[in-house]
Amino acid sequence: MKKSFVIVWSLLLSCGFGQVLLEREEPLRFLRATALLDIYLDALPQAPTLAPRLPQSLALFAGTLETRDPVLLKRLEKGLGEAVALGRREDRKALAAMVPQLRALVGQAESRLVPRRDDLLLAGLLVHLALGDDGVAESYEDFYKGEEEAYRVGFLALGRLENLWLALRPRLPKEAQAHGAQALKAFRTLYPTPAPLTRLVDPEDAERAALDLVLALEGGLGQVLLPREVGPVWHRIQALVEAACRPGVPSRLRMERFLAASGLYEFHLEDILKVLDPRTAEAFEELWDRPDCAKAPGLLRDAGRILGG
Amino acid sequence: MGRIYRVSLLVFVLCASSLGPIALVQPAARYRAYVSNEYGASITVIDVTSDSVIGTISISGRPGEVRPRGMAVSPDGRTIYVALSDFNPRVETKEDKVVAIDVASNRVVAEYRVGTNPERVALSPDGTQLWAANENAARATGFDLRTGRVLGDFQTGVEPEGVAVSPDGRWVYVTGETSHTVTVIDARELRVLRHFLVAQRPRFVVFSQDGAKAYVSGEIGGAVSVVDAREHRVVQTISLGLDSRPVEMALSLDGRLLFVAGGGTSAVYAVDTTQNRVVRVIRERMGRRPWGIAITPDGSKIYTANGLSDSVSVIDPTNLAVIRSVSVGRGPHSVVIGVVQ
Repeated sequence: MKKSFVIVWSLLLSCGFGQVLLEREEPLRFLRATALLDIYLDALPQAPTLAPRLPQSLALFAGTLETRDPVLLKRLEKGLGEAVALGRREDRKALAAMVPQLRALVGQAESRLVPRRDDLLLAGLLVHLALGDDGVAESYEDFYKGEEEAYRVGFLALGRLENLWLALRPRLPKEAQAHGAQALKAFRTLYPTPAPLTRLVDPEDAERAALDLVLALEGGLGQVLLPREVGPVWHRIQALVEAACRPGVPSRLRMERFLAASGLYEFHLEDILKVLDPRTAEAFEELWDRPDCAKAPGLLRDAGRILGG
Repeated sequence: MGRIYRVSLLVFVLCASSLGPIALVQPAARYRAYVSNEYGASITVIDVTSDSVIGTISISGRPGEVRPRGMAVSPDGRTIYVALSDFNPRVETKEDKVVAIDVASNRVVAEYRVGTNPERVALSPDGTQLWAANENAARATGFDLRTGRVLGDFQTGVEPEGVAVSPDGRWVYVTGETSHTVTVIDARELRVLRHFLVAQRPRFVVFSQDGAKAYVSGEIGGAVSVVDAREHRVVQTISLGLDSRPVEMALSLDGRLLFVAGGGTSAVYAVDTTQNRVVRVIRERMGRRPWGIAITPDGSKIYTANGLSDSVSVIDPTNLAVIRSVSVGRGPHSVVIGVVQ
């Protein structure tokens, strides 16, 4: 029975959902944004300087939530706004008091945005929390560069990563399980305690562990999670920008889509364009800072040409 | 009887001449494999004839703080160059350097400053230029070994790692791990010619003996990019499997086989370069996470540096099988072959 389930699962995987991060970009973005919000809120009483990150994460789904549950969005916006103000004043006690309520609201928002979570979504979220911005590896690098609060973010992200791994592990063959366990062990040596240790290691070790984990998951699921070609990434960015710039799109949704496009750009294309064509890379930075539907199509065409699309 | 003697003499002379003058007049070269132990701050020296460890060269008394990684060999095989750095890639420290080890004595005989955080190094075919990839600075540094001066440092892709010089000494290729690029430096005019995209997370580059092609391993891409090294563009991509995580590569003496260390699958992939396809995957008895790989100058053995099992696997290139495993120091990163005459 168990074996037949594995076979069916493998077949399902092999016939669909290639490059999960791109094809399920929207629900993954929602899950990542709510996961990060939860992490920031969890950390906030100890690290109030994280407060300005709250509205940034909210903006990644605010436009969609507005269409699905405007009342919930208003409550969330109000609550997070208050948390930002308390964070500025470093009022840890008041923050600690309001965090549980805010985390509950974030949970509700997640349910409204992603009503059903399948294993591929969990795997995609794991990739984001391992490799993405404010994930375990990147946070370690930020901490290494001197951002004290990044350690706490990474530590909490690792806790969520371990839970995701536990949920996915039964689906994986033994070899992938062993590789993943080894990667998590390596992560734990970087984050042994809730408070940072003084002795640091090369952040490349964190990146290596993240890749070990993600590639073990890919191998185990028989599924391409990370995009390997720039073309599909560029197409997804183009689609998001086009959707943002359609006439009549509400401003929050427009901003959400631009932010989603910039996130993909930064994760997958920024380093490439900075090397191949620094001027275009600069123009993109301006575009993400000040979204402009008149400039975007020409810039995307340029990028496509440079990237061979 | 006299006729038999003359025929025997003729056969002997013909056989002897077919061996070539080197085999008759010179003693065979002895090879030593040098393995950089990233976490042990040491170099393990292995005698290639017996596959036994004959020495360990301490690079620093502070293992875990100073790490040897990429290595290169002088054209005569008598000097090994080792890239050293500490675990703090953000700033240049006195630990960031390249050391030269004399193969005959196994002693460090020189040190060179080649910028911050050198990860891998390469020698020009005439042995006069040393090139280093400065990982954290997104630069590559050229160094003139005759004058002891830096030739220049050049902007590369992000997180440069693999570096190689073309057989004619004209081009230096440097891989950029997170920009997925190769930077082409003109070593004659000392300028960056261009950058081009390759398979994701390029880690290592090797030129074919005739300089017509270069092979670039892409760790995340799970592939080897075949590059037209005259046009500096990718002409084909050889897939090894997404979980393969290829890093170092070595070409057989005739250039027909490319051996690729697959860290993800703990395997070595043998690629037929005439067809650009994998013809054999060597897994049995391989150590864990082979990242370094080298072939002896006579083509008789292949060595892999296995990062997770603190060992070296010895492969027989004739039947493409692991024949031995040798314990080395902590975290083997790379392996090269030195020559003792």
